[in-house]
Formats: sequence, C-alpha cells, structure tokens
Amino acid sequence: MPRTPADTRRRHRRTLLRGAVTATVGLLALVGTAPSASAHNFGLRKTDNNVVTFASDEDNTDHYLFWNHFVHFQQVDQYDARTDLAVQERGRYQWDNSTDVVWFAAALEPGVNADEVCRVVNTVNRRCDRARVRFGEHLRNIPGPGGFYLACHEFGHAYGLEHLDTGDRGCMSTSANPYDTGLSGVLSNHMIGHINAEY
Amino acid sequence: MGRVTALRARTAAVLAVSTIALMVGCASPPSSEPTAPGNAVTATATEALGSAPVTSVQVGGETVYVTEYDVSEVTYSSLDQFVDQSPVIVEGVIIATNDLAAEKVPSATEEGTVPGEGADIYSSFTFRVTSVLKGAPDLTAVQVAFPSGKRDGRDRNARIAYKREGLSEVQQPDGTKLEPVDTLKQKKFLMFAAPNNGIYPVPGTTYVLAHPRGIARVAADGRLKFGGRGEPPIDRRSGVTVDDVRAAVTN
Repeated sequence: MPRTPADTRRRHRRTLLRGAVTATVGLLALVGTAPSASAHNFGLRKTDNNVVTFASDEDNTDHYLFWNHFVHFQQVDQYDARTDLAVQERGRYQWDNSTDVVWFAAALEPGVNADEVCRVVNTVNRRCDRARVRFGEHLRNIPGPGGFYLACHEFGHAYGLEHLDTGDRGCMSTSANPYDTGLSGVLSNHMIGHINAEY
Repeated sequence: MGRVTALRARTAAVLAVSTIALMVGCASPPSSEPTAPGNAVTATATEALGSAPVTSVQVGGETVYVTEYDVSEVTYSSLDQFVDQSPVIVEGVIIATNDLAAEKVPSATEEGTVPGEGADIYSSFTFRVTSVLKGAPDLTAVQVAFPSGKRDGRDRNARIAYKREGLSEVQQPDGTKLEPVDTLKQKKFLMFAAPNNGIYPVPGTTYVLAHPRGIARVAADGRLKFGGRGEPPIDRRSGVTVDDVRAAVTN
C-alpha cells in the first residue's frame, strides 16, 4: 500500500520518540551510577574546619621515615591537592591538643594493620579536637601501594569518611590486604564529593 | 496522539521513573543487612549524617562521648588462614562483663600523649567455655580485655567510648558499654582469642581477641554472626558455621 504523508509524519514522530526514550534512559542510568556527594559514607565530622593540621609523634626514626613518606605525600597529593581541605603539616613532635591528627607507628592488637580514633573531644562544639592514627609496626616490609593505601585510608577516617564497599575504587574500602600491590591509594570522586560537601 | 506513540510515551515515563527511583535509592539509609559484594557503593551500618557532632550520652552521672574506633583489619583469604592465626577458639556464653575493668594514665613520654592526658579505659568480659575447638582442652573460663575508651584529662566525669564495629554483637547499639550480662547470657558465642601478653593492662585478663571481629554470635542454625560488615570469610554474608570452623581446625 502506498504511504500517505500522514503515515510518514507518524513514522517520523515514532523515530523521534524512540530516540528520546533511549537518550533519556541512557542519561538517567549514567547519572544513577555517578558518585553522589549527598549519599553515603560520611560519618562524624571530626575536624573543626577545612584547615587541617597533622604531625607525627613517632619516636623511632626508622619508623618515622618509613611512614612519613606515605603520610606526607598522601596529605599533599590527595587531600590538599584534590579536595577543599587545606592541609598543614607540622614538624615531628610539634603538636598539641589543637592539632587535628597525630600519627605514629605502634604494636597494635592482633588482626589490626592500622587504626584511627578520636582522643580528645571539644565539649563545647562536640567535635573531635584530636584524632590519633596508628600504623602497625609489623608492616615495615609492605610494598608502596599498601603504605599509600593505609595512609589515605586512616586519614580519611580522621576527616570523617567511613568505609566504602567494594564498588568504590578509592582508598576507603572496608579492609584490604596491604601486601596487595594492586591497592588504590587515591581518593575516589565519591570521597572527594563527600569531603567538599562537608568542609 | 496515536496508540503506538502513546504506548511509547508511557514506556518512556515508566523507565524514567524507575531509573530515578534507583537513583534515589542510592541516597536512602542503609538496610540493616549487608548487600552482596560487588554491588554499587553502599553504606556501613554506623554512619550518621555528615555534620553530626559526636554523640553524647549521660550514663550514671558521666557524660559519655561516643566515637567510632576505626580499624584496618588484617584480611584472610580462607577460613583456614583465620583459624591458624587464632591460638584459642572456644564456644560458650558470656557470664560477666566489666565496662571499666581498668584505667591507665599513659606516661607523658608515650607516643601520642601530652601531660595531663586522660586515662585509657579497658573493658572485659568473662566467657564460660562449653566447647574448646582449639587450645588447651581443659579451658573452662576465659577473660578477655579490649580498649573501650578514654577519660577526659580535664573532667573526670567525662569520657570517650569507642564504638567498635567488630563488637556490635556484644556492645550496646549506642556504643556506651557492653550489653547487659542478662541479655548476653541468652546467646551463644564463638570466640577467637590470643594471649594478652601485656597488650592490655587489665589485671587477671589473660586473653585478647585474635581479630577485631573475633567474637561471633552463634545463630540457631549454627551460622556465625560476626560484628559489622567485614570481608569474606570473616563476615556475616559468608555463612560460616561452627562446624566449618571445627573442620578448619582439624585440617
């Protein structure tokens, strides 16, 4: 049967509609998988403002040099450079109760590679005044990716991030084997979104 | 609008609404049961809204500030590995708890302390052994210590309590203390322990947990309910049973 002009217009409208549906669904699906800064994984905000200070109180110089390498570069290259945080490093032992994060290496309890906890609470604003980050002394032979992962991870806790599940490529996965050379030591866009939304 | 066109418009609307619903789901509170590994990013069970301050609770005249004790755990690729790292594995019941088992003021020269630093607080619980899976077969009771908080150096009536994900089966949900012993007595637990060896200064306490998730509730079907999320096989999702652990011990 020959097509009429009305048939052609209907066909044209269907094609346009099909394209629009495909584009809409595709766009929404894409947005749905993108990181959402208002979603999950920010716990308690633990520092007063976006200017964060940290220092080491490690007595053993070997331990200090080993872990400082990871801590220093993760603070500069990740948190300072890639988020709205302004990170300020103080000299070894140059800290007090107002220093946001104090780190050192220690003999930790069994089954623990590193930990982070609030040690002083500001009772006026009920924020954490001083967090403590400890790295296991038993990890002196971990490969570089493990050290960068742990430094990124524990300081992430100190700034308020909680664990992310395995779907995230950043350094806040629930737990990881620090001897895994494929570990990510970087902030994911999801984590950056949370930090910037908070500070 | 023709029938076909109307149908396509409805399809588009349904798909769009479904997709938006999925997106909104990403921002909704987490369910209490973990999802399967490999899903899109999901939340941990303990998170709060972003700018929430530290929770404070009045407990018997004390102001208790509750903060997470975050740990990067040693991971194990198999149950055999985990069992190998636990010198003592016992099944039993918690028959006594002590939320303030010991307080120790750290030396001013200790790393991470300043003069006037508040005392570290340790808790303990006593475990009546009903079955020894690994360790001395004559073990009848095991007392276990763990760090549970810290005194405010300036205010004796204020302390920080550590809420530990791995202890969520034995700690009260608000993190201020252990569950009442009458509640704990109703449950069976499997405990993975290691000698204290001076790790924690709690007199008479000879053991510590061999892993932050080293105590699991034994469900009615024998499955182990570890605290928090964790990674397989030391997690709630893997469905490890007491019999699996017993078999791993004898391997």
